[in-house]
Amino acid sequence: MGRTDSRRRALFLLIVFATVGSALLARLAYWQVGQHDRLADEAFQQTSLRQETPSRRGDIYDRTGVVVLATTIERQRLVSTPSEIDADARRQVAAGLVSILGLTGPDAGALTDRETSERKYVVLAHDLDTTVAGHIQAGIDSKALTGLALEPEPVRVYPQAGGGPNTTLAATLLGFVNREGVGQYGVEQFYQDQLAGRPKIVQAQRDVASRQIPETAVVEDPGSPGEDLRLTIDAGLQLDVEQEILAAWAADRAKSVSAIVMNPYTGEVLAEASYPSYDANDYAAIATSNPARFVDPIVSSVYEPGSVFKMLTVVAGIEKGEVTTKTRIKDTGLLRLDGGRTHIDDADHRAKGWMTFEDAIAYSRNVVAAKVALGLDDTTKKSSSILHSTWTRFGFGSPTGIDVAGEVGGIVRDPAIRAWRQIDLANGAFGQGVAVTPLQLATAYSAMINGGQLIQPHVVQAVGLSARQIPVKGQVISADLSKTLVGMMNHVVSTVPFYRDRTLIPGYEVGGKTGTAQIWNPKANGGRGGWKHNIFNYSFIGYIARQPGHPDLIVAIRIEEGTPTVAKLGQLEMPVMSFGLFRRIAHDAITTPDLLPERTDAPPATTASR
Amino acid sequence: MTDALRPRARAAVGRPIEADRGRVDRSGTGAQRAAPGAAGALRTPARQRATALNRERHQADYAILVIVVALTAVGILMVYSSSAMKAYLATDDTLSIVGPQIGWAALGMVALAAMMRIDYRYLRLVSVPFYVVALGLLVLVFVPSLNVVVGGSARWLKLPLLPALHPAELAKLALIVYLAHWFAKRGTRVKGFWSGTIPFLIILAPMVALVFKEPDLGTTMVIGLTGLTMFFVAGGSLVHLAAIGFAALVAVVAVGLRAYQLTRIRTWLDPWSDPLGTGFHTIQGLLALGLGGILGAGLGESRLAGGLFLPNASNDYIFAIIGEEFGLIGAGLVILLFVGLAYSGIRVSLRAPDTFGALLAAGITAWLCIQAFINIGVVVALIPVTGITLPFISAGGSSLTISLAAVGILLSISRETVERGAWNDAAADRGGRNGRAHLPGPRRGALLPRPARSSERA
Repeated sequence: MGRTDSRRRALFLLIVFATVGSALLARLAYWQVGQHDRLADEAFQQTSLRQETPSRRGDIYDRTGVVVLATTIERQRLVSTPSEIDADARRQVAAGLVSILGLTGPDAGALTDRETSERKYVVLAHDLDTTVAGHIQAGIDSKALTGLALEPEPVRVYPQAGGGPNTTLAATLLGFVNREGVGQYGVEQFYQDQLAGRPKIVQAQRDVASRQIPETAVVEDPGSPGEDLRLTIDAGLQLDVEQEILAAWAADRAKSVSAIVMNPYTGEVLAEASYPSYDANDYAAIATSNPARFVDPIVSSVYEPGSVFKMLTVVAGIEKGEVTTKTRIKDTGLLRLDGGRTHIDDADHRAKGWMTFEDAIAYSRNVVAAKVALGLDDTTKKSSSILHSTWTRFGFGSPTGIDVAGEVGGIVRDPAIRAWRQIDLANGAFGQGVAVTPLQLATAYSAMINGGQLIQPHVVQAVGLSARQIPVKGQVISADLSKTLVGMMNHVVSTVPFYRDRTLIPGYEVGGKTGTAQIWNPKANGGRGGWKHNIFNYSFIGYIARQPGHPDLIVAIRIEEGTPTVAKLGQLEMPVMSFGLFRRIAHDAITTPDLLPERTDAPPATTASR
Repeated sequence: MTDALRPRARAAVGRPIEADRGRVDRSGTGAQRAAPGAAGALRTPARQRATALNRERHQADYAILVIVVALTAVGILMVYSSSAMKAYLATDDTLSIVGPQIGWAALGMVALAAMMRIDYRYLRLVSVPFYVVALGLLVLVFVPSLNVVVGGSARWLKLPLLPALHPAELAKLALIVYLAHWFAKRGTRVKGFWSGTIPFLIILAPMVALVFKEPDLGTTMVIGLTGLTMFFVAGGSLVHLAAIGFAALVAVVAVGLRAYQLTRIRTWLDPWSDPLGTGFHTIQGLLALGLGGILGAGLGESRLAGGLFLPNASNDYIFAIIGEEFGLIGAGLVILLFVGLAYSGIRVSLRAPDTFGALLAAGITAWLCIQAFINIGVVVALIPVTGITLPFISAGGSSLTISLAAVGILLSISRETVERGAWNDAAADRGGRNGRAHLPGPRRGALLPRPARSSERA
């Protein structure tokens, strides 16, 4: 009975199998227990899908709550999965789409290229209206078009036409919303979170092709719709202002014109416009060619304000007790400084002799302003410090905090860091060597005329149903000084005939201060820099009052690089001067129905009795 | 022994039986040997024959049956769990992959029951034709009009009127049967170089070469290792075995490694070096295991199968899905079941009544366990990626049916096992004249003198 197989070897085989089995078990335990956390993490990452569905973006209304400035509509987007169909079908689909969408030339070529690529997912067309989408859907249903799908796509629209050609109302103020649903510039960017709301978040498992596995979806956050905004802007006034600045821009051949109308007591911005503006419904048209146009010059661009800054020298001088409105000061036409190394002069290079301080401001005498600034204290250093602190008190050098994206704070040199020379102080007295935004000027002038309160400018009065509480920033000058300044501004436009004729609004009191600043061109003269010839920045900041001494509105005008038609020494004329534009806008504002509260009772305490 | 009393079938086998003559001793004809001359004793008393049969054939080793049925059941469950989503997406019917699997399992169970009831010794009759047919089918795979090419290798054979076959599966069983038959016949001469090793290699080589040519590296490994294991158990020379192993290694390095297999090895060493390319399979398998943890995610909760991340989730990588859904406990249990199968199978081999049965049992056990361990080794990243199914569990009709049939043979052998000591434990007399096994000791004489050949034919 011979067995030739080996019993020992069979047993050895069993031991081998048992050993291999143990090794496999050990290795299995290594992955399933030892590496469990790491592998599970990676697997979850690979198999989970977090899907965010944006909520409907909130609308933007004007101050009346009636006019829709921005809203969101549902459009269709055409997407394709070229890699899932064969090359012939792709070409066929592309040809069909070109005819349905009515594309020609490069557009048709671009679509054909995308459709005939090997990519997994391409967007072929955005923003399809219902008719075109209907045609395409019919093609998809009849299987003539394969590999295509229509996806809902929210599109932001700005239904109000602006004052200029190819613009929408308040475009530079509102900004726009990009394809990703993110607000860009202006209010849309600043209030992105409130407008967008919380997206609906669904956590689900996905398959290898990134498709969601339906049964596994868990709603992690139901989301909340975006909140509507109610602006302080009055749509009617905004349109008027846009039309006025368009006219001024065209007549003055200016680079740009900006205007802001603000309630000086609350900081509500009633209108805020610049031209050139753009069409927010077609922002893509200038997105590559001229993106600088998206920037709102009123909050985001700075300039040397010029003589409008003299009012701050007035504040410093009167507060210090150095001068009163009636103090007589000699205008010498030219003032040598820094031991004769530098000098300043008046715009007309004439010495007008002794005059009262208020007249000197009215006639915008640079030498007088400089003298007052230099005489604020014993030394240039102390005087610089006083003037600088006056500026910063009114908010220059830092953003006002308006609820619009992209605000800048301007450029104000601090004498404590680098001491000012006399020329710096003298220039500062009439607004040279400092850069500010029109909004800062409007805010500072509001404080000058409203009894001394520095207010918080803002453009949104309510988010959703809750009104915003806007605190006042505090008293920056005394109420008495404010009264004096109101009188002084009125004196400016009532004393100088050239201003008086062009700012007169019968039945109302107006006041303000002009500014005409030369423009430094650093590239001129082969890089040494020089003043631009006969091109100036024109400013006017003024108030209009229904009752004397009680200003109702503040209006700030900036005409950037206007081209004068009459340019003589000390005499510049344009078809629409800054104060002329002021008058037009102020008149529009004061006649806008329901814009200003009825004031039939006795004037409030702040009203100056003059 | 009287020739007339030999079963006709066994007489037909002729010489091979002689190598196994010990088997005859318990064949129920022993009674005749006591009185060879008595004519009336030609008939065995019924009662005596019944007891003799009882001693000879007893209950099969149902531990094996339990293990295999458990594995098959787990397989059907897991094939459904891992293929439902894929099947649904492909054919709108979640059952389209598991349905045929259930059918094949049923067919396999019928084959198992049938093989269990057939005396495994009859296989010796068909071992050569079986081997030749299997070889022929492997050749047919290379006929372009008959094969189905999957993933660059022609593994499937599509014959008219038959479902697609995987001839390599059949080849494994054919090789085992033939090798067992041949080793048993060759007896101690297996040890010799010219008489054992070289003929063994000649038997093994065509199959290994054909399967390698498909190319199917995994099955090549299984066939080669199973053959070598049988050579080892049959008593082949260890020196020669070591030499063959070394030569195989050299051959693999020199000839077999194509560029894509080199990449596979690199990926095996660090799957994360190419997570989206060659490492993808390995990483997805490991991620599935990692997700399972100790207790598993639960039946049908596999993210990697449901999300179609894991390619071949229902065949080559089904073990990863078991690991994900049933955790270390479930996957470990599958490994333990295979170790249990190895234990039971080798026990059957040790207690088999003859050398052929022992080698057959060892070969079948070795085949199933080697294939299972290679498959699992690939999933747990112990072995470079090779496409190979997990026996009884992976989806695949040919594999399942033939594996179950093989287990039927194993059970058939187990029905005739004898307790240790009943068969002669002493080393066979390997110094015989012809090298064949023969009865040792004093009983040698009982069979001698043998009748003349001429009278055998009478």
